[in-house]
Amino acid sequence: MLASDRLKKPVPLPRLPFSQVGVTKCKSSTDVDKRPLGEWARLLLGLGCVGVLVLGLGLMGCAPADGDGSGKTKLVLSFWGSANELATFKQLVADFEALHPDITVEARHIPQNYFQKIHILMASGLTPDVMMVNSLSLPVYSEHDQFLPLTDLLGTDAFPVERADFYAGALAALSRHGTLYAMPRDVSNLVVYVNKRMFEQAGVPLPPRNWTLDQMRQTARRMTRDVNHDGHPEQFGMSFYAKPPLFWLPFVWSEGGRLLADDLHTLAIDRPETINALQAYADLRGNEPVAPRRIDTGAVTMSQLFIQEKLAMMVNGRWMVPALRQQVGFDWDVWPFPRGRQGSVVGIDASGYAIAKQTQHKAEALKLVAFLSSRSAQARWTESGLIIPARLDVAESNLFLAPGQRPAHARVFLEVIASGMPSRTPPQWDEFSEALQLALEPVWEGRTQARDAVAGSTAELQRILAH
Amino acid sequence: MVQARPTLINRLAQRELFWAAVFIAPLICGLFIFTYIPVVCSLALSFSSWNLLGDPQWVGLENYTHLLGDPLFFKTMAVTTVFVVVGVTLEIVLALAVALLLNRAVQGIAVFRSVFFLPVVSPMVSVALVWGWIFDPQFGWLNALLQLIPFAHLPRIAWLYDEQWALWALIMIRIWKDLGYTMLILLAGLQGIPSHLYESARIDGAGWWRQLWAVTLPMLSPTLFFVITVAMIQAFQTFDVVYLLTEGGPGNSTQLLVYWLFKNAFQFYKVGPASAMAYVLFLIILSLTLVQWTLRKRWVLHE
Repeated sequence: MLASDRLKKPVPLPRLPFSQVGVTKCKSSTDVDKRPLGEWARLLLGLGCVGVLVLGLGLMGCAPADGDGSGKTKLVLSFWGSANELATFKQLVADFEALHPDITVEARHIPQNYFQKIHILMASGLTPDVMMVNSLSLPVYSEHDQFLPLTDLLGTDAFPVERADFYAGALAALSRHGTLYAMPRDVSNLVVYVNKRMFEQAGVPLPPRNWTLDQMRQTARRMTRDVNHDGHPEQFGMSFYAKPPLFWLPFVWSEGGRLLADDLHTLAIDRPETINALQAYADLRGNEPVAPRRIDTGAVTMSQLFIQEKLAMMVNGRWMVPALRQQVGFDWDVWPFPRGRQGSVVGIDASGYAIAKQTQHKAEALKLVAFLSSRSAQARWTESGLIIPARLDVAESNLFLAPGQRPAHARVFLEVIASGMPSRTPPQWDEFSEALQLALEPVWEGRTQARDAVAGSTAELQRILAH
Repeated sequence: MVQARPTLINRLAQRELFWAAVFIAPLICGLFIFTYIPVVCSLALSFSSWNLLGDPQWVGLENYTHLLGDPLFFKTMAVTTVFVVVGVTLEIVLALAVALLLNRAVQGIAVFRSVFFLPVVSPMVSVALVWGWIFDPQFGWLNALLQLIPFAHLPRIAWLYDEQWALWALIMIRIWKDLGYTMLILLAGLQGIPSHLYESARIDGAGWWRQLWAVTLPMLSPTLFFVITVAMIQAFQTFDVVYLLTEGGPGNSTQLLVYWLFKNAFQFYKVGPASAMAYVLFLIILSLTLVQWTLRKRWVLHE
């Protein structure tokens, strides 16, 4: 079409090159103009049809979700995890179904954005009967009465699970206001992984096992090297995590600092012990850095640096063990987190199985959770090396301690449970930790003092806790 | 009309409109279920406090007043404004330059056009992954390239991890990704300009620049109008690249409005404030589009 043609007729919309092709005829509109009343009738009929269709679609969505007519009860079990973990779950589900022929379990694996999806399922009234939860996310849901309280059911015929079989710290992490909401599968805590070969090659003696934060800093300084003499170290002594708080909180707790008071509603971040500990942590990246900065790492994680032998010591959790066993050729071991003024205090988190309060199959769901909490199920999880089992009998067995395999001091993971602090978070934890990370980022980058960053953020943090 | 009264079904079946309704019903259903109903619901939710689990509580205008009192909202708005204004301006200028270059009958021109269009059809996830590597402060080749400039002694830049640079890095990625689409539309516009206009301009003694200003740009103005409007709306709605690469950081420096909205809705489950943000964003885009719509009379030809 020529531009001159366009000049003649007024067009309501800018006519675009590609929209000029297809507009040929709009015949029906002129047809209906002849009978305005009939048009309305037709329109109503049309809308009616649309309505029926919408209704039909809606009804299809409401088809009974229960059972396949075989008289079996169907349970939905949701969990996160890698492909290996999925395989373990599938095996466990098969074992359970063999034991209980009247129950089928649909294993729903949600590898990404797990709690986001669980949250939406809850909002839609489609909460899985049994689902994995962790101690950080539990409060949001227990506060809204989404989980079946388990405290009074423990040890009954319907739920033959004994409290004494589990680590008290794990049970505490999955409890709120004294009520247990999930049966723990595993405990997670933090230890220090040490690359023994790097120490040997550097001629630096290994730190004592009962070390202090000061000794850790000295050791880290000796293990930090400017390999190519460009003024910046390429090999570092200690790991550094800007987030999540879980990874740096041991530095604060061990020095007697706190983020929140025990009521979880009052800030304790402005206490001098907390501020000093935050500053000391940031100083690991200070003038004489012993820990890598963002520009030193980019997208590379601490565990990758450790595997590449560019990091001599790393704070991390049990989940690193399978990867290290398979991927590295050097000798490594685990040390307890170093002691501060208040000892060596790391957080005790746990994940486990919760039952939906609204479940239609409470008895069967309890059977499933009891099975998943059994010694044999926990043993299966422990074989892979991925978790610290929440059951004492499995944790204290050779299955977990794995003599002859690295780490040589696997017992450290268990000793930490006794001295650790069971995780307690307010329901607003996600928003709180996000605001906290933002406030502390300039401190971690060395641009602001911890004192100023804390002073500048208390109002906002308090506001988040208040609602 | 037929004499004997046909059955209702028969009569229905003969109506054109009936069949039209049947055929568009799936689309209409989809639009209502996934667009119109949620849009109305979210307006209602923007006056409520709700975390998706309990019952929504009516809070009146509180979400909106909180938003206007929140410094983070203004920070987000500032970041979004820079992202949109700089991103769209650069994108249009570059796309126009490329379109002018590619608007000629050279052998193999189709190959060049395809090359520029390739990023448009590449999935954002892989694009983000690759750009993440390019920007990497340690082994990224962008830094390596900058180090090659003689005598400049440029410092290593942390790009996505540096508050000063992260937003610019995202702007670069977005321009690279969307350039092809804008270029293609402009190219189509260029090819619609009749050659006799250039011919007469040349006879009147106009050089290349004069032809660009007096013929090409005015004749291209309707296309430019469309391209600017669409690019602006898309830039306002940018989410994926932030989600994939920076998560709003470092230090909120890439906290675009839509990503912030997502965080509030699906990480903090603050559905009320998030809905209020959505409506604020809607009003912003609507008013900017209306402004453009009004201003177009001044500069768009044939209107």
